[in-house]
Amino acid sequence: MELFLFVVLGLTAIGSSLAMIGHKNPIYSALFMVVTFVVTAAIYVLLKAPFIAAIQIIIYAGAVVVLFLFVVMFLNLKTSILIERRRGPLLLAFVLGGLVAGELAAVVATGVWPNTAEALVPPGFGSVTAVATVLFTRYVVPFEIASVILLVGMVGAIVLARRASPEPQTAYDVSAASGGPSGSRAATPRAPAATEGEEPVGVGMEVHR
Amino acid sequence: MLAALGTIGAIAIKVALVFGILLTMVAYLVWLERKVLGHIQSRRGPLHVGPHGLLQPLADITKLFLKEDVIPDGADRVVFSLAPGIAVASALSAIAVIPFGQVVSVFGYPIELHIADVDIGILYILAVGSLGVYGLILGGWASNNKFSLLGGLRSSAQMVSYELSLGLALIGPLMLAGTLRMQGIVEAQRHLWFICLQPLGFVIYVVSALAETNRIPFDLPEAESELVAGYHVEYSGFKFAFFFLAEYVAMITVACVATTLFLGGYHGIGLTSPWLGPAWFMGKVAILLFLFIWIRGTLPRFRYDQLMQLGWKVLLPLAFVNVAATGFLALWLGRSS
Repeated sequence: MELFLFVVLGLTAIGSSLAMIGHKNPIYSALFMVVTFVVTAAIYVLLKAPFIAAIQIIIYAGAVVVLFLFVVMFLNLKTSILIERRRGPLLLAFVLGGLVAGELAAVVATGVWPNTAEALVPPGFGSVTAVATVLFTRYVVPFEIASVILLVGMVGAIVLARRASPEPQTAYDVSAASGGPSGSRAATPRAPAATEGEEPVGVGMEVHR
Repeated sequence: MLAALGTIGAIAIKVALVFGILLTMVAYLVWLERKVLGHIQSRRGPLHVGPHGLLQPLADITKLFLKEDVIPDGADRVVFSLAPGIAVASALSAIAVIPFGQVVSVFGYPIELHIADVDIGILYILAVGSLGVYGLILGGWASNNKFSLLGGLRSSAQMVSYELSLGLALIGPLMLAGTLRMQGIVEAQRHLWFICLQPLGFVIYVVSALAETNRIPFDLPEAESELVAGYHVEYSGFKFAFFFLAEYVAMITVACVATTLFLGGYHGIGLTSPWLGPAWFMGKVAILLFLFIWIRGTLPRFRYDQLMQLGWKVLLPLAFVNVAATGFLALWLGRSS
């Protein structure tokens, strides 16, 4: 049963990630990305790590891809803009992909093959307690560093959005009634850079176009 | 083998029962909303189909079934049809981990009054709930209509913003209970409901939940006066009914979560027996739903910048303060007991 589920989920994950890369429409690519994330979360559940599965869905499927969709819809990206014409990045992608594939093949060739998740991980692995214990004892310094980096990113996004503002902002002008905080008009040209922490600012903007 | 089949059968019956009750509740929640709003506005609400309009929901459902299903020109047909399904699926699956009562025995068999008992219960609800935004944003995009796209964008921004304070408000009860399991959280409130220890958390939760479910005063995504009807302006017939259903199921879900985390779940005051648990639970949910309708009848809609300011500058800092205060409280309670 577990093997059957794993095969189905794995094939779905591979299929949807291929579709994600291959699809011409960026909206569909983002959707296939969601499918990939959800299927990966299901595989985490099979591996007895429900906490990581839930976090995967909340953060990646629930927040990150929504931001992607947001930017794609906002900028109304056309397929033609997105087609890569240069050869360099493509070549690099093939080299890197080949390296990873080789590494995976080496692991597969030399590895031992347990049949179930229980054989791989100790009991309680991936539970909230286990993750929290490791995170707040052994890895507390990297954890704090990561949170400071995120904070820097948020502050940076706000600073970028502020600096683009040419005139002092008035609290509410006429445009506010049609839905947008007036200060955000200045932020839109940089919307992709500023979306990380401040994404809601842009929504009312579409009205002004 | 027979025992396994029995377990699966019991679960199937439970799922069918819960969904049946849920869908009936949605139908009569709509009726109740129209009635209550009517009386608030000195009208009488639906009156003609059945006594006091009690059969109005049936008439409405029949109408929605029989209407023509229009797909606009230039719409993305696949995504257009997929979006209502995503909205409903995400709303319905959240209900699976809600505990409605303790273990009761039916014909000598112990039956647990919940569909699933998951270790990460509350995270599961947040996870499937966060997928619901795709229904709105995709529906808005696929309709090939500016108003619906705007509604979809607004809804996604609103839901992503308010999810933060919603999640932070839930951390208080979780810290006090020391578990993410819904059943464990309810058991921890046997003697004292968490609303007594978490009044601020409860208020933050209810306000964010109103925003998450796009209810007045936060119904910006479908503001009639600006966006016609927002993300579902191009939807008709059955697909529209799906969005409608998703919205009301989400409303019931947030009421169930509030009951479980803040109002002691199936624990009652005075009269308690395993069989009365679901009655207590439903009573509390009904009070919250009435509150939501009352708020709708009372408050005007926020402006968009006010909505964002309230979310980011008021609720979020308050939620952080609440989490820190709860931490001290939990430490103190843990030391004294």
